[in-house]
Amino acid sequence: MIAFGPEASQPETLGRGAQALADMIHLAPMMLVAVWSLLQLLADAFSDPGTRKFERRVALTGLGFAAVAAALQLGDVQYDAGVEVFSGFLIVDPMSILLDLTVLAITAGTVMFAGDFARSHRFEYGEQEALLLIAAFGVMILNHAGTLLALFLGIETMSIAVYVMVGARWNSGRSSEAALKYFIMGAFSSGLLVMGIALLYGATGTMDLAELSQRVSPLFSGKGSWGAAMTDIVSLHLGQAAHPDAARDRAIVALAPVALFIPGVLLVVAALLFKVSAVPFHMWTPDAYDGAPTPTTAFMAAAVKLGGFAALLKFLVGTLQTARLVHHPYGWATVVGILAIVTMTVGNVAAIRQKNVKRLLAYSSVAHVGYLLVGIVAAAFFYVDRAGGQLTEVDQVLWSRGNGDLAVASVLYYLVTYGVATMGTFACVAFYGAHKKEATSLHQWAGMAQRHPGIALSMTICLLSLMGMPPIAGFFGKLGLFRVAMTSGDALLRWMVIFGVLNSVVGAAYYLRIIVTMYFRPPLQGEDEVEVLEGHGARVVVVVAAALSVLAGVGARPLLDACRVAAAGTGYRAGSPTRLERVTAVRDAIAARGEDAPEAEEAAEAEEATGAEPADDAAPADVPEGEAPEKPEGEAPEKPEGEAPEKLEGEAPEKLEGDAPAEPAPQKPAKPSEPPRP
Amino acid sequence: MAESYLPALLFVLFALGFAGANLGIAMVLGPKRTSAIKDEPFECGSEPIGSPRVKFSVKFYQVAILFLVFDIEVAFLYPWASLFRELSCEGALNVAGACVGTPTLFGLVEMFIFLGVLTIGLAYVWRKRALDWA
Repeated sequence: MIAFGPEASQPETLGRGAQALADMIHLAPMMLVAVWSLLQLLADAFSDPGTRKFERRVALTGLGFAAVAAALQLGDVQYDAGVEVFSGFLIVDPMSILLDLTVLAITAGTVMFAGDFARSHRFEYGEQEALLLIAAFGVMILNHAGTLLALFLGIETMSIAVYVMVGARWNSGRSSEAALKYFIMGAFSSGLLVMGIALLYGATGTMDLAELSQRVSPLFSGKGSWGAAMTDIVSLHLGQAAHPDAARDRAIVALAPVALFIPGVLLVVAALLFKVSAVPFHMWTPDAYDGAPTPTTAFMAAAVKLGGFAALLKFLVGTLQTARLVHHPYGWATVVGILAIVTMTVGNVAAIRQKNVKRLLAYSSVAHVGYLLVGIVAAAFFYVDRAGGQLTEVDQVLWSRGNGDLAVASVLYYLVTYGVATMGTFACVAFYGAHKKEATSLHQWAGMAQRHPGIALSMTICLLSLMGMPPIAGFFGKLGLFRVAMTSGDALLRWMVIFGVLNSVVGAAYYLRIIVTMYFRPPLQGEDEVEVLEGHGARVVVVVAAALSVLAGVGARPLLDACRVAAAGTGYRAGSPTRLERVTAVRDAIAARGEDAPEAEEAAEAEEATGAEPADDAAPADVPEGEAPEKPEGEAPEKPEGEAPEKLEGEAPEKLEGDAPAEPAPQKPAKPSEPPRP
Repeated sequence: MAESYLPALLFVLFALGFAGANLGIAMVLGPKRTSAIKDEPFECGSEPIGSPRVKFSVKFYQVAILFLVFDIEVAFLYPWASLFRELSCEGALNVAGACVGTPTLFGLVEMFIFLGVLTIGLAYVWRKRALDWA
């Protein structure tokens, strides 16, 4: 990159080199991760064996740099409307920056205990951190994807690194089995994805998502080729066509792109749903999650799913907004909606029967995909202006678009909070068990709270967040998703919400079973007693994840605002004035609310939670930020985890003080928030 | 419209039928005398030694993968070389292929980034002793 120097010194003509350099700077977080993964590989090759700590420090430093770069971009109005880089191949917009920060935090969390876990279970390998960085890079490509090719590239970059990490535990047959299953199924789904992309390209002649969305509507509109074909077909049926052969040929030619397009959409959707493990494509999930080393499982459950949902948001919600493509009989939203209901039900019902904590959490992650899909379908319904009826008035359309943005914001909030809580639970699973003996069987968790009270409490908070218990983040995630879905009058969405709520109750059963086992069963004695992982990494991650879950719930406002800014104008082309207008409107609304608190329109429950905030000192750092609504607000919930590892580097901001004491006395940051919980 | 494909269909049917009929006739009418020597695999007159299903060292696999990476590197160099003039010129080329606009280092730097990534890979492979046979 430095070699671009001479080019950059002549700014008058933004030549190819200078353009590439400027694009690189826009993509700084991603590029840092990519370059760092290479450095990491060299660090592994040229350092002596047994330098795990050194490699962890190198990886965390790189992730810290990338997080700083992303955090600097977060409040930058330059990116509000979305900036196209590499001629539209990738897009930098508030959503991608928010998701980047989350991915960096998740990766940092995984790096924290991946090395400890590998050493304790005797499968240490030097490439672990490099592979994690490569996988994170892949997820970041997905976050930024502006074309179908970028989508494919991101999925492959992410998946190939993850396949290796799943099978890295060479002394365990289950790990190899998991890797083989995941690899074969994943490679097959990549095949579906490529085939789907080829069909979409054949139908529209473009790979660019924004361009695609513009070329799709004439294909399916009554005034475009669809309408012309229907006219011809009707006249043929009635026997009124002047030249039947010509009319038939015209109809075939006009419908050919449609005939390519619909299977293409189905194939791409199937491949993406495979990556997020939605139900008919979830078969690999329990085996792969169970067999993989636990840090890898944590990364898969949090980051890989996040990447998949970034792709789903971009491809489904952002691109396919034609009414005929969304609603039945040809639409994807009907299919995805029904799959969402099946996904949450199957995930939850299967999780109830599990005796193995890792498999239980794997099925629970399947169930969460179902909840998240509710938001995707709701966003699509609002964006096509058919929220329970045809909208005609301008203000109705605006209302619909606004709710669409809200649905996307809910999905983002859910993704972030789910990622944090999942990270915490899997870190706890990794923590519990050492020396080639994992304690994943539920009966081994008996009495864990007596032996490790702080970790058990943090685990409980993470599980309650996944369950959706009020003061903790997961509750606001579910509330946001279900409420925005109920705003629409559509029957399918209502059914999805009904099933979602019922499933949340079912889900409570198995989360509570873990909690009850930890607290109310006598601990195992003698040689059954479970050893725990050496090193502080896993402990820190569990505690920080719990603290963040509470923080994002009790002080939900900053994160909600960041998500709203990130979601604004998702339905419009990157860089378009309309999109800029919407993001600016949201920013202004947030700023205005900061000035006079009473007229807050959104998130009344967040308001009420913020009211309760001064009572507990869990989030002292959060209070001042609530007053300064502009930039720092969005960062507040993100910072701690992304930055916490940076204490090695000494660059950490004031936020760290909130987290640093967490290490010696794990229960400290979480405890004060306990009382408000009803 | 469909009628125009009739000759092609007839041709395919005839080809299949001719080949099938000949094989069938040979099978029915041809004499079959087998012996141990006739059933042996025959390769250019060499006598077979041992079973073909022996275990190969996994090192072959490793070398093959490494070869593939650097083979693809060379494959990428060809289109780059043929486009090098266009890549290193901001603006049009004249008929002789000389640059009319301002020359740039873009093409060169771009390829060196790619080569740099592969060189890091080579250094990694070297240090990890994947190139040693023993």
